[in-house]
Amino acid sequence: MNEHARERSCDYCGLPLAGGGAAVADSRVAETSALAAGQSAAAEYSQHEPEYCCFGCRFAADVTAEGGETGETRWTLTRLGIAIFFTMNVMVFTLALWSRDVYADQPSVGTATAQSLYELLRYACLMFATPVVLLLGGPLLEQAIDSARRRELTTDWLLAAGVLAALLYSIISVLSGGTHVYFEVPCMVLVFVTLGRWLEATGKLKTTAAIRSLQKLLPETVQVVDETGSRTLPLNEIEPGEIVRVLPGQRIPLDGIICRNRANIDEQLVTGESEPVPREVGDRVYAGSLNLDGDLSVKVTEAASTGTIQRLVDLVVAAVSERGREQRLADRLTSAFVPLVTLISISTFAYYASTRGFHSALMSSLAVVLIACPCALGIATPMAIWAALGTACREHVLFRHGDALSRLARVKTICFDKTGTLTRGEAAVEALHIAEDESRDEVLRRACVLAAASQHVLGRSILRYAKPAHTPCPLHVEHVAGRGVSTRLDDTDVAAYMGNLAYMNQVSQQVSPQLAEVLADCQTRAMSLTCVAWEGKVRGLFVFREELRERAQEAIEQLRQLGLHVVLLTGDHQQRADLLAEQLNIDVRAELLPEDKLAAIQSLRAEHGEIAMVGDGINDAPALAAADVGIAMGCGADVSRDAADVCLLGSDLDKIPWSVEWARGARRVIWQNLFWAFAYNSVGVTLAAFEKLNPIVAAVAMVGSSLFVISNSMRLATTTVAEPPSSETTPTPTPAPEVMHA
Amino acid sequence: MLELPFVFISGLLGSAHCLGMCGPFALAIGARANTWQANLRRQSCYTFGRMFTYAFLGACAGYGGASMVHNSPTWVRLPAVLSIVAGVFLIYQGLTTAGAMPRLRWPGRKPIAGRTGTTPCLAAGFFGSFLNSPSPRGVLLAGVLTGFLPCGLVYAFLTLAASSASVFTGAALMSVFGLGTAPIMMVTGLGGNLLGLRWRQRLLTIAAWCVVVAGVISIARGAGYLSFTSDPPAGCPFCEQNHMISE
Repeated sequence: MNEHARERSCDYCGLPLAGGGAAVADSRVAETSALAAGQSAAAEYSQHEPEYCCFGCRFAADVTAEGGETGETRWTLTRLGIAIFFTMNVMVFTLALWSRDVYADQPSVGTATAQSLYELLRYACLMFATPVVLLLGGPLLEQAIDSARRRELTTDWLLAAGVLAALLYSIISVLSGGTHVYFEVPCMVLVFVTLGRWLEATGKLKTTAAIRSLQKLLPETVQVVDETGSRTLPLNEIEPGEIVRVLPGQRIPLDGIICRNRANIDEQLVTGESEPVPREVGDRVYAGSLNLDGDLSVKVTEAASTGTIQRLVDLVVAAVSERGREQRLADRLTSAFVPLVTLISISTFAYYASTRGFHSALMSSLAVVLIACPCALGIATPMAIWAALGTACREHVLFRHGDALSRLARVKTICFDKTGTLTRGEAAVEALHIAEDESRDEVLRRACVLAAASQHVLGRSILRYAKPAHTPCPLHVEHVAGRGVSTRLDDTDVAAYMGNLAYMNQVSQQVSPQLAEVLADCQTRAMSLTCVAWEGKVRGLFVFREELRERAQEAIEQLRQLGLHVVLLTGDHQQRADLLAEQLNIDVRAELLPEDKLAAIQSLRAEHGEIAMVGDGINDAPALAAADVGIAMGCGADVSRDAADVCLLGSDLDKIPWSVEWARGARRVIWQNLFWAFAYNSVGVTLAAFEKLNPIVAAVAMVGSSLFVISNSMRLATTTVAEPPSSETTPTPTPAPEVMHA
Repeated sequence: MLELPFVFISGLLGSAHCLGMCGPFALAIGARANTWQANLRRQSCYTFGRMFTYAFLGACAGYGGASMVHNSPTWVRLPAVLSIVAGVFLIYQGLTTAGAMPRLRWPGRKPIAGRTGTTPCLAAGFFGSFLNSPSPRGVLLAGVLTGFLPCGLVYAFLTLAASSASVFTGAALMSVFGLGTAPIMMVTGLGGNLLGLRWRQRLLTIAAWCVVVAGVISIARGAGYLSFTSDPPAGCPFCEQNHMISE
């Protein structure tokens, strides 16, 4: 499991705990991943004492833990309900008491009946307020004690102290016939604080729902087959090497290799491709893909805890735990805020206690604590990031960290690699031209070996074209980046070369006049080609046809509408690149070697600002790493393969403008949240410190503020996934034009 | 107290309007009961909870009205203004329900690009757990929470309650309104659809016009006070006869 996932996290919502300094990381807590704990009933993972990021989560965890039981079901929630009911009573009595002040000039107010009625109302308040404090004070006090034990400074203590003081003062006042009673204050404060934090906790849980739903897709139990027959075991107990049976319509529970039968498999969840693929004995299958039509036996290669789905989830968890720029800002604010609030609250109390008496002092300092409750500030960033990353993951876009999200939002220029990115990686061989004195079979035989040795996409096309009886196993392979590959058929054979013209020149292989004619023709038509040569002569010439990916033009157009400067960076010939660039109406820098791409990115950055680079993640890894945001396409099941900041599981170009828009939306939400939380707190505290804020108003405002942040963030956490317009299922009205190039 | 009967009738008939939103809750509450007696008990608890909240809101509105009157002594005709506002509100509610007026739409927030589907509701879990609760306590709390659901009709009557400028009158007014909504909600919860769809639609229209009439009366009363030249009567919480209301 990833190191980042081991940071302390709340046992209910899975968000990292406040102040999540790895320095104090508690070893007991480190054992469970955030999501594992969030997903399952707390009981299963209860080897450590649960920790919660806030008292709302503690409360909500209590509610869910009771969920399954009968009898005392939902007592915790009922407790809140009853408290609300009692508080409403207290409020009505208090309003009646207050209206005496409003109508102080009316003669009827002074009568004996009215007096005794008021006395009665005060006792009624006392009667109804006490249960509220008993019902809701507990969890708050518990959380305060907990945070004290963790040596964390929170405002829970001040809150609990303020509530208790207000209650005690009022009780004494009623019993001794004093003037001030304010039972409504502790009641309303407790109800609103509990309600607000409960909503917060529920909201946090909802933001993590998108990613947890991935895990839920896997079956809980698996049918294991061995020599004694078959039995059903829990998913977590399956070890690599065991054989599991997967019936048609079931999801494949674990990564493995098919060892019996064949089936069409829907791998959309893992690779983003919606077209089912046929898989047979010896093929890899991934956890989470759907077995459509075969009774398969699968030999497990990875335990559930290290399999594809878990890696996906771990990746998102790690992404969230990484504290991005905005989060660090919020952390700094919060860490300065809490002591500051404590100080303001205490000095407010001290000042008013000495000048205006206990009543003013208590009310103002309580209002300070309430309005300054840093909840909104604390959840502003993580909630939005969780929600955004989780939803993006379900859209088959993986952000490796929250920073990638905010950097992508700032990007001004987006560079595309060509082959395998803007164009289909798989160019088809259009023709094979053979030198006059060479046999076609001989050329194909060597071409197959060379193609198998090459990592290049054109190599795969040659293999598909030649259809060798068996995949050859090349020896002494030598790669020359951006140019070609050389190898031998066997130890006795001469070296054979495959690559572009530059490579042929480099290894001094001559082109015959007849082939040179073909070559010139191809170059004027800007088609891509690959030469096969040995013993000083170019023997064969593969000519390829390459196509733009479907919807490439739409995606580029969308990016342009988003205000991005789109550039094509390619190692390909200027002519071919120009042709493509003209068609897509984008800038182009061609004939770039991998190191030239780096330089191009650096110069573009100096010119236009932050850069995103889109590539297939294999041969352009340095460029991806050099860009401010590297976007790798077609990561498929192998998400941890490369270091790109953003991985698209599929090869759907539409996802790129989507990601940019999504990142911008998320960034907007984060800044709205931070701005709101900070502005509200600053203004509120000032008002409260100058005695301009009633504690009840402060409590309501606190809930309102949290609700704003929550609901704003929730806009990023959607529960349904839109089917991506996949190339296979959605026929584009205008077929993508064919381009010849490499 | 000119309005109370009218408030009751508005509530009674207006509750045909409530069925749209709150009817399903009543049905959900009935779904857990095996016998009709048990159901009746549950429905009563639920209705009481709702009335309790209405009364609470009425008291708050009444106090709000009172303190506004008290704090702005220069603007003496505040109750009259509130009364007119309430009337306009009621007429608007009635007319939209009757289909005689297009519904105003709140300007929605611009959705985030790339977002699909609906935002999950936070309060649903809280509310739902009480609706399905087997105990009368839970049903009562469900009723209490239902009372807080946004409802134009309730707000219109709350404005009326505020114009009474008295905690007690406000609470009484809203209780009567809640009582008025009780019969149809209970019948719905008990027996499902006693009336056919066509009858319900007719009832809905009648109810809507009844709300309009309540609004007109409210405006007329407010207008009457505006032209009233002598000192405006301040409401008194303990005088049963409130000058303003009993005219």
